[in-house]
Amino acid sequence: MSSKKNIIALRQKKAIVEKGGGDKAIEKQIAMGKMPARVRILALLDEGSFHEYDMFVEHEEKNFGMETKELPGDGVITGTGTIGGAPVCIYAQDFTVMGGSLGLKHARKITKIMDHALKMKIPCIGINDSGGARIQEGIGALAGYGEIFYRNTMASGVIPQLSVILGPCAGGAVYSPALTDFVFVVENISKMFITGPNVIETVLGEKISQEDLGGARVHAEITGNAHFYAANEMECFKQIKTLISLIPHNNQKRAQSIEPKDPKFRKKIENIIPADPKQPYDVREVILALVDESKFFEVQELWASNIVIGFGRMDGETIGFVANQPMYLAGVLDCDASDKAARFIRFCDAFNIPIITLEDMPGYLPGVDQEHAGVIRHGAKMLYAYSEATVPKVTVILRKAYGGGYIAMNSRHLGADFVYAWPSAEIAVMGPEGAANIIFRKEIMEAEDEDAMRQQKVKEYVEKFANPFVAASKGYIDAVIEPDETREMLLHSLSVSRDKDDSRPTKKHGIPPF
Amino acid sequence: MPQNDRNKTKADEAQVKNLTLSEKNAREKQALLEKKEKSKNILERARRIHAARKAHEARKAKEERDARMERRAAERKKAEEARKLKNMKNSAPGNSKTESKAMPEPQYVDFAITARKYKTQLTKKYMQRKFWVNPSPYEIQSYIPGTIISIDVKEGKIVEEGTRLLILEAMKMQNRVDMPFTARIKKINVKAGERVPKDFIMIELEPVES
Repeated sequence: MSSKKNIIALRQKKAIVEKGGGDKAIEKQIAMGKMPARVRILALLDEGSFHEYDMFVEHEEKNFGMETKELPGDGVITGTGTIGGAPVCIYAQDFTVMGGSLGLKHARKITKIMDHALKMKIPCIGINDSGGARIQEGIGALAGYGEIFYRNTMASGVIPQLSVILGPCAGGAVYSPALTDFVFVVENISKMFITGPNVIETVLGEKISQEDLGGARVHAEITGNAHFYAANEMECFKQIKTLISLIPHNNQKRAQSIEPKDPKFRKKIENIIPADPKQPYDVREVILALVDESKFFEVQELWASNIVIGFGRMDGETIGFVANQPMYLAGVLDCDASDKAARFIRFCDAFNIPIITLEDMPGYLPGVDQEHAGVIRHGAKMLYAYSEATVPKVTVILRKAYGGGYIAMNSRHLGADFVYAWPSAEIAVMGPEGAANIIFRKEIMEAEDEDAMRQQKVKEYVEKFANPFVAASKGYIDAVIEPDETREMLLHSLSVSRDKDDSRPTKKHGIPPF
Repeated sequence: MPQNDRNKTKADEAQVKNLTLSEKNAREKQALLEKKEKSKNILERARRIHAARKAHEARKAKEERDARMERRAAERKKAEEARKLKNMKNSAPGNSKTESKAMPEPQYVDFAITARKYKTQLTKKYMQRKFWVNPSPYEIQSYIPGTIISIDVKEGKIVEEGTRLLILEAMKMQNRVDMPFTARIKKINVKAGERVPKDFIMIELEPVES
């Protein structure tokens, strides 16, 4: 009998904690267009797979009237579960409990589940919805943040870490998502900034709304802090599920492979690309024509759209794609594009995902703003990331490969395993017009009709050098292939490099140009 | 002999003194000339910058005008298409669904990289980028957004290099802004207690003609 009584008491206790901030607060949360924290977890994880820990953790603060306050679960829900059968650790901050504010015990619950994820070598997902540090706890809250950042860093490159911003995430709190591998944001719900609009207005007198300062769109399009942008929470959860299915559990495993399927995209691959190197096209169509089932999961679609990154499958295995996008800014490399690609390459390298590079780029973006923004330092990140990567690396040169861009886009010289070129490829030190202007300057200057002479010299240069055969004659390109052969060639290259074993000199760590 | 020597040295000294005096004069003259030259150069640079800025503004205005025209043309086109679509919808209701789903044709612009122009689209961030303007030495700009605490100079006065112009408080730090070179204060654009954004022209100077 007494045992039954205890069980009933436990159930009651659990029910109280599960209510979070109470019915009123939950109603308020829903009125804001947001799901309650527990509902979010249940919606994201496989049905019945969620198991919660540390339900009865309480804060220890004794100042500012906190001693009488009871905070269910201290404002955060932690636990384990599965997504599509893949085990994950998860935590969700509960905005209904004191605004989801972070106190020491709240942080300790998070660090505990993070430690668990790192030990069990499974991905860690954090759902952020918090007003910030719990001011009443003072330095305790700061200590909590610091402990989380430390674990984010320790786990980086060992297990995949995902941050889902489903509410405000301000001040120091933003640095945990920034340290993780992928950040998800949702329209109208996510808000991330270091200093909010109020502070900016009092200090600087600049009026700006939360949405314009650090809304979902801003981070997806302007700052590049976010990797995935969704219109609502359910769409966001769908993105997370897709991503989890594409990446491995940890850095010692390969991503789960599925049954290989042929591409569905039926447009002939050589018809996608216009012959005139000045005409644009959507490089994503080329990717769709190459990957299994024509399914391509793009990362950071809106930011630095002059380069396309994302995951697709070939022969059922996950592959990372990096491709210049001539549809935007002619596919040039600039600060943002280099940052975007470099980080993605490092993720793929850390988690054993082979990289395929599709190249069609006219060079680096010229301009004072670019130079002053440090395009040298940013561009170097890409060289570093490609050189450092030891996963299989294959490059296909579709059209233009000029100058520094040719080197940066996973050239043979940076350690590519296979480099292929289409017959339309132009591998040269710069565009024919620019090169002719320099090499034949004297002839052009001395000619009677300068323009005619220039045209002629450009034509000569194009005939002689704007092709893949100069590079092929030096062995920098392994094969010049027909566009139709590309998929077959890539499948073969990947299958022969499955057991690639490449080593790097022993070091504590490199010093990339951050 | 020693007497003679002493005389000689005395004469020498006098000569040296004269020489140094004249040299000093020459040097002063030289310095004055250099100073004049320098202020002339600065003046010229300021004029050049002014012209460049005017040209830049004109170019920007033209670009804006062009963009406006383009936008208007696009809007007209869109309206026309919408009208067409409506007509089609009215005539063939079964077909309308596929029509409205069709992606709008992206607008490509010319984009120059080295000697070649590519057809492409621009990103929002690229269009919002700041244009670089060569800063004029005759404009004291705020290097950080903040509040003006005090102004220590008056308009029309010639101020020596290194004199305190004003105090700009930002991030709880009172920053002293000094005169970069000797010049006349042409205009003061701020008042004590005023909040200024970054790169705001707080004080305008003009060269002193000597």
